[in-house]
Amino acid sequence: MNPAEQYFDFKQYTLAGSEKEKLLAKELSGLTRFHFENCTPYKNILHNLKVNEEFDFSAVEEIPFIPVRLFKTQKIQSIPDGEVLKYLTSSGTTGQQVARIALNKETSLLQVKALASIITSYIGTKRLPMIIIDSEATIKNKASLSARGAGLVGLSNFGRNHFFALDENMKLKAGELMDFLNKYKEETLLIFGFTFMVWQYFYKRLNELNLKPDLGRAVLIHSGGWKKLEEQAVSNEAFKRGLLDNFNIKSVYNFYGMVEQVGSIFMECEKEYLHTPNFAEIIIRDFNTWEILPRGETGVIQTLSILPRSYPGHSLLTEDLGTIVGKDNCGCGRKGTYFLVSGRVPKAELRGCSDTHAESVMMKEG
Amino acid sequence: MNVKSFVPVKDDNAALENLLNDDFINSRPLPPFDKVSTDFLTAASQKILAFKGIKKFPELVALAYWLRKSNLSSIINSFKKELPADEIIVPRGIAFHIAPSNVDSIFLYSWALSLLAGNMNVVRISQSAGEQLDLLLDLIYGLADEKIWEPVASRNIIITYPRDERINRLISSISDVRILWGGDETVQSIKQLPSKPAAKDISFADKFSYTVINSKKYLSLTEEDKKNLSRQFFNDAYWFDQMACSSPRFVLFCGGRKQCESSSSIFWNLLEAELKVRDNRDTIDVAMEKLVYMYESISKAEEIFPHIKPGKNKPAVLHADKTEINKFRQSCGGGFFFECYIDSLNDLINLISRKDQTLTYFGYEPGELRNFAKEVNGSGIDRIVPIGQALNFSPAWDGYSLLNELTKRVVII
Repeated sequence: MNPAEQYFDFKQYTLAGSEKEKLLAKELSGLTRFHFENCTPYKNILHNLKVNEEFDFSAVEEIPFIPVRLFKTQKIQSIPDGEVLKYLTSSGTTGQQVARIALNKETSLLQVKALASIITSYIGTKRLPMIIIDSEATIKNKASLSARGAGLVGLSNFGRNHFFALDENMKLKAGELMDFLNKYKEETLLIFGFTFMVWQYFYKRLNELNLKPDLGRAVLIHSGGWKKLEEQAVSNEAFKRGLLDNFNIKSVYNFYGMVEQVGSIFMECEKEYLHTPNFAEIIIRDFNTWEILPRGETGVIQTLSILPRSYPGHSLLTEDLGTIVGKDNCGCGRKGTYFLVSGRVPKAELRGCSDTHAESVMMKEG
Repeated sequence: MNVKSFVPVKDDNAALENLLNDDFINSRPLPPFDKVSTDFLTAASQKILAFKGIKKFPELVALAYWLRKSNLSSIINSFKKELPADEIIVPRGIAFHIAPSNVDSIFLYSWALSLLAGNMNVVRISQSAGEQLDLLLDLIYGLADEKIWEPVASRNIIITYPRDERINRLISSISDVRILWGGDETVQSIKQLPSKPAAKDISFADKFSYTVINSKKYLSLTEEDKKNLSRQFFNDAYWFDQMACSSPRFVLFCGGRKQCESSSSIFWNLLEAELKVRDNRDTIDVAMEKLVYMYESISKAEEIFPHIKPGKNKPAVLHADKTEINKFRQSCGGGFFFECYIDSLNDLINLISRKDQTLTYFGYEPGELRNFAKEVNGSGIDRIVPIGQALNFSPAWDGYSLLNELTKRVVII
């Protein structure tokens, strides 16, 4: 199976309308069949839902989804253990179950290719000196990477002379940072980090130290969600303004992605909308009926991607909330669906007789 | 060691040593069924019912009815009737209650019985108090603060604290009886702490409950009676978000295949209608929980069909074969059911496990049920009650006769 390759012949963000729809429906149908034949829990699900086992879906909307949380509660993969190249794990907090995503060589390669096609469309193909707002310890164990580690490894391919700006205690190595900036003062820089860490350990720390390096030549890419920053009342707008006002960073791109679909990321554009790449799509569903919501209405995000070949993660119902803004006509010029993410589905608090003491564990999660 | 105290004093940061002082420990317990205890509970009942907006909390209304003077009297009288002429009962002493998390009002039943028995009580309530519990604690505090209830207030302590073995150990060391609600793990962890040598534990650990419906009898009901049964079942299943130990999670239709199919179809349709009437809908978090749980369940077996998929005003119902249904004893609550068809009550015997608590039923005669319970012979099931009474607390609970457990016998010959 490698028809996926054809997606990378198209220039990123150019596939549109019925052409994209047809290509995706065909590819995702094939993936549905493949995973049905190779993953028992997935097969049980489709069988019990009485999904048409011809798997000739004519529209992306017809592709069955599974909730992303299933990867936390059971082993779901479509390849024998012997073919697993590595496992990706979600960054679960204490006491929570962790998702385990099995990658084989094919999926892993497709992820790299996919990510490259997206990122290079933003920053060009030349590798840039790169500052990573994280600690090198995060990527030490390459055989079992956390979501954060996978993100770092993935993005680090687009840089060179990588500088990890934080030590193991998440403290900014300010002196070394200034040296690095000095060394590459003529060059465009790539900065990558998780949203919260960029703000907390980079932006705030530099402010504390009263350091205001001119990073006008840098492109900052960040991801990881806004929950922690919302607690500090920092919006996307405030985030961007802070980085511009203090360090003159003009190019700041957020992206939305998850460990269950690595490589298939949704990058923010200059108009501040998130974009589906050529090989992915999103659908918004109503939690009352789980039916599809029309454009403009907010609901639960379903993400589809042609990348997952080793586990049935090609159509996932996330626990994030979002709204589709439009399709193929964003002011930034990119084709495809563009949307906004507005938060997460809260954790259910059903009452119960049991677990008298469980709540104290929950409290520690912070 | 500091705790948050509700009774006898309101204090966010009370020293436990001050609450458990010598005055408390050395107080004379009230006699069993003392007037001040019954009057206090009766006053609590009236206060609950007088609360504006109480309709929103049917669980509390049920509690208030249970605490009415007439009900308490009938509980006390039927207990006294069983006492031999040459025995009198006295309190055990100090009771330590670990209340269940989030089932706001359930601990109040066992506390009330312990109070009636004359015991002094230390009650640890859950850290994550919900709306109902807050309301209840306010009411109880308000009462305890009144001068006339001083005899009750000075002998009862209601507190909360994060999991802390030192505190549990301290309270255990002065306890004559411990009443432990909670998951198996919580119950085990407290049991390991020493209490007084002659002390005893009453454990309410993880439990599972279900419903059996005699399909033939069900089909012969009038439309109105069928609707009424759905209404009763709604209360059993949807109060406490279906997370009480006695909330039904399986529904077993018993009889011939055809009859079971028809009963099932009518039963769930009527429940759906009941949900519509009440406009009972899931919040997004619960909707997500149920959807995920459905997918988890259907991934585990080849034949476990969603009979009704979760959705607005809908119960989530999965149909499993009787040989498979026991795989699905985990529950997400909030109105999520597994149904299966069985040929006879004998089939049910094979499904029973130690953890099973309440069997709610429709369409069986007392004689049949007695024979059935004898056949089961203690391998599970502590209560068999008609649909609609799943949550009715009775002094016989989880196999204990609670007033017996909470008192001591003195023999006088």
